[in-house]
Amino acid sequence: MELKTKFRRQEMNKIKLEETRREFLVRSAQGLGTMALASLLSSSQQTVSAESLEAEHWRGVLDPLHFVPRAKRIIYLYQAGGPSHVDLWDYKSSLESSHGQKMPESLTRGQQMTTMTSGQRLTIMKPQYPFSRFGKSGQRMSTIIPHIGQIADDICIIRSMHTEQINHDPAHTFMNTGSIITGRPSMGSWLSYGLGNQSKNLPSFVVMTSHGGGGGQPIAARQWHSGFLPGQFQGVPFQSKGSPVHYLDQPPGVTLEDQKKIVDSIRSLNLEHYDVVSDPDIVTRINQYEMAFRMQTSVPELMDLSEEPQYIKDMYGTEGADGSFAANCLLARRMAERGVRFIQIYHRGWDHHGSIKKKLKQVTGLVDQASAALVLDLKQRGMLEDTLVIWGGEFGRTPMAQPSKKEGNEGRDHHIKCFSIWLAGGGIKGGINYGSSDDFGYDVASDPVHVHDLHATILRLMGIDHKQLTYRHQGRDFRLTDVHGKVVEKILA
Amino acid sequence: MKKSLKWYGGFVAAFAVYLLFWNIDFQDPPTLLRLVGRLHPLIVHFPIGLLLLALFFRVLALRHSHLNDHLVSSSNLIWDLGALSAFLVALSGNALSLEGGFDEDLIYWHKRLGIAVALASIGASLFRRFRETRPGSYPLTFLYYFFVVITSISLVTSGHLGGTMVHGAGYWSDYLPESIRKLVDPFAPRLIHDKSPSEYFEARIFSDLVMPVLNRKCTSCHGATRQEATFRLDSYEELLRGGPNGTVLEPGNPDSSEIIRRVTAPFLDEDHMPPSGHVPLDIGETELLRWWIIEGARKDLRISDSKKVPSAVETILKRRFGYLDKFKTGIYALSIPPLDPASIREARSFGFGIRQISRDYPFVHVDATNLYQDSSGKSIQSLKSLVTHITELNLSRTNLGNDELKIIESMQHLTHLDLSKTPVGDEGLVYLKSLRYLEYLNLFGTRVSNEGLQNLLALPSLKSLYVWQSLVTLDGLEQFRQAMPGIEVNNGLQFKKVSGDKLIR
Repeated sequence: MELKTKFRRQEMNKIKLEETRREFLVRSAQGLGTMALASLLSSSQQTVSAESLEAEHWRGVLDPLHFVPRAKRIIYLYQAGGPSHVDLWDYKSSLESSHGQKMPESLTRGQQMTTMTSGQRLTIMKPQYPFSRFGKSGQRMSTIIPHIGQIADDICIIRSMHTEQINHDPAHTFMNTGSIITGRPSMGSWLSYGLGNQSKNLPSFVVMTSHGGGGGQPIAARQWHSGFLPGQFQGVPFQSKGSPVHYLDQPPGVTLEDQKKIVDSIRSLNLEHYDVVSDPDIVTRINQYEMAFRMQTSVPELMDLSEEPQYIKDMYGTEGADGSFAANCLLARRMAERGVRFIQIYHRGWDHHGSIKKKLKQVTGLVDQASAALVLDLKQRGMLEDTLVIWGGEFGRTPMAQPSKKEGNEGRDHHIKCFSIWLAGGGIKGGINYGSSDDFGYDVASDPVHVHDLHATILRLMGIDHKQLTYRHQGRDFRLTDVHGKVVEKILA
Repeated sequence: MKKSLKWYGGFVAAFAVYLLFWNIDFQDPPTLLRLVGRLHPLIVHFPIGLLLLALFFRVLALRHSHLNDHLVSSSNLIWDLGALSAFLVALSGNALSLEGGFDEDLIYWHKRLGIAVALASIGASLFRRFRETRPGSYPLTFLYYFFVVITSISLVTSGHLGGTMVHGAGYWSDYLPESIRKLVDPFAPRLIHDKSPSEYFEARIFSDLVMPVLNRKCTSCHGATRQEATFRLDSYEELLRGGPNGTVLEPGNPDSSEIIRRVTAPFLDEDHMPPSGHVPLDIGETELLRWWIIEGARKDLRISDSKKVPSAVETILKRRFGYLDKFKTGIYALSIPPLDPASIREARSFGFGIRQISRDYPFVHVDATNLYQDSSGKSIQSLKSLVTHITELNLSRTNLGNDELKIIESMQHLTHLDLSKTPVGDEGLVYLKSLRYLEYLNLFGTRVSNEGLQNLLALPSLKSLYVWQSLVTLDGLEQFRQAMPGIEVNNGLQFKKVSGDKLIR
């Protein structure tokens, strides 16, 4: 009798765990038999189940994967603000020869501009620095990024990217979540949900924002939010300067054992509460506590750059954890070694509305060497073969100048119809470029790659069919690429 | 009696006319005969229907005595009409056979049995009348029933043979359950299911992809049973031989191959094959045929021999063989027993991360991220029941030494092995000697030296080797590079520092 009661309670718990109010009503209407069946079936569905309580860490819903993966982790060097593709990656001789002339109206008429340039005279502005050919592949790039030039044979430049949003914040949201509407999970959250944590001691999705260079627009935490996915898949922000993860330090006088006791007590309280209300958020909470506790030892070890030899620090161009892009790149490599799956580093110095010449030099001085060092360092450790490095921003910049009152202080405005990014490593053909822009770098001329296509390609490299990684929310299945996305097969190795 | 004689006379006259055509070898049958011949498929169904209906009425009459007279007289009338039509059908059939192009054996019996139907049914009519004039005559009753039985048997058999000539053997019984079909239609060829290999690398383009198309769309007319235009497509040799106008295949050149011209001719063109009324080749089937001809139209061509697979064919291949991200080679071409979830659970309980590499293959990637600095040989032994399934093993940053690597010897399907930052030295590499699929070997930060590299010289699949910060010297590396020139060996990389002011021009 007692056993029977216990069994019934377990069954009820199982049902409660999976039920939303709406689902409960639907199932009640279909009768108790269906309800029991549904609860049996739900264990195989892609939901956060009680099993995740038993496992030490989340293993992801995709096992087996859809395809043999080419990359196991991603380091996304996110250049926020909109790097100028015509000054860095996409050489246009027409800009050189037509410098100072009016932009052909056939191209720009009726097109969306920001309020900063719309209605003004649109003059063509030549590339700010000379271009050169780099590597055996002869990739053409600006000479202001000579270090990235030295990894020319490892990278694939896509010159036909285009996006849908002309202002920073929505464009970031679009680049990260595949939608301009807030509340969708970011790419890293989708990957954490699908692939799980590789390490039980570190989160699978880490975000770092670098300092230096100034002039950066703020980056909202929404960019690494898990949206409607459970909270445990949210990106965890790390600071390379000061305390790496907020509120993770032990208060003075509290030992690790004390803390273990606290965490265990909270866990048992939480479990008790979970038994009563079966709210999946409690599972998330329990996991987060446990993870945070383990991170108290794993994070200091991870962030300790003192064990890196001097020549490695020199290679990246950093002296230690100073919050710079270079330090973050070095930390990203250390995270990659320790099983973090998606590492996103934001560098915010790219919004060059004015004095672009000066500012380009400033920001490339911070970004160029470390970006190249990261790729080379991964390569010599044998990790580039299964680490995907992405370098790019939310959009590009206009081939036309954004006028300035002072001569020589011109900049470029936001441009969404065509821009460039590069990818390297895990499953990407190196030393190639894909797609092209028109004579002015204004429109895509061939092989357009939309943000959704980039997402589909990234998921493919990780072994995921973007059409099949879905999550049911508000009555429909959502995915990162919504109803779009074509894998860019030609850049896959 | 007079009436019966009239019948008799009519029969003799008809037989005389019939004999006119018997076995006359027309080189070029007159148009009128051709017209009559072409009516054969139309009127052939009359005698079948009528004679069977007459029999049916007779049987009914046995049960319903109150209708007896009506049924019997109707039956007699219908039978006579049936006999008359059977005669006309035999006549037209004979005319049609002059056109030729039919299977010799089939038409031999179809013709004779068809004539038997005509003669026997007329015979039955006559003896029925004789019997009416002489009721109670046993010989006449016997002969009457004899002819009825002969008619019935010949009718069914000849009809079946006729159907076989038109639709091919086994057409009617294609969808019978195999067990029943074996009994009722023993000579039917077995339905061609796509029984060819389920893995593309075993498949031959001709026998597993092209031949099924020919069987579906061509061989019912150009096959063993029926050889329209004396052309057969039911085997590679026949296809190569071609038709009356020469070869139909020009290897390497689909556009000048007659078979491609025929299947791609305008639909209403009389050259179009299959002719109107038959299902034409769909675009995938046409492209498949073209592709095979482009690739050289050899019998033993494999898909993997192909230089370029057209997209329409890719669709077919994907449907048949699943996703083709690359042609299966190496371990993907092997057939491996399915994964045992219990083995995975066990390895996981020791801290290994295990993931099946894709739903198409029962291989797993194993990583030891959570076994950081682990040095117990016990944990790696938990992989024992997974050794055939492991293609990727990442032991980086564990503390496993040379002895623990012994188990790797048995991981014959290993393609990626990461031993970076482990205390592994030369002795450990002995266990890698026979890993014939090993492509990636990471020895960064290990104690491996020049000597250890000797163990790698026999690895046939090795593509990349990482030895940065090991004990391998530049000389040792140079020797290894010379011994194995195709391999990417990485011994650390540095770039040229460029100061902000000195840009490369």
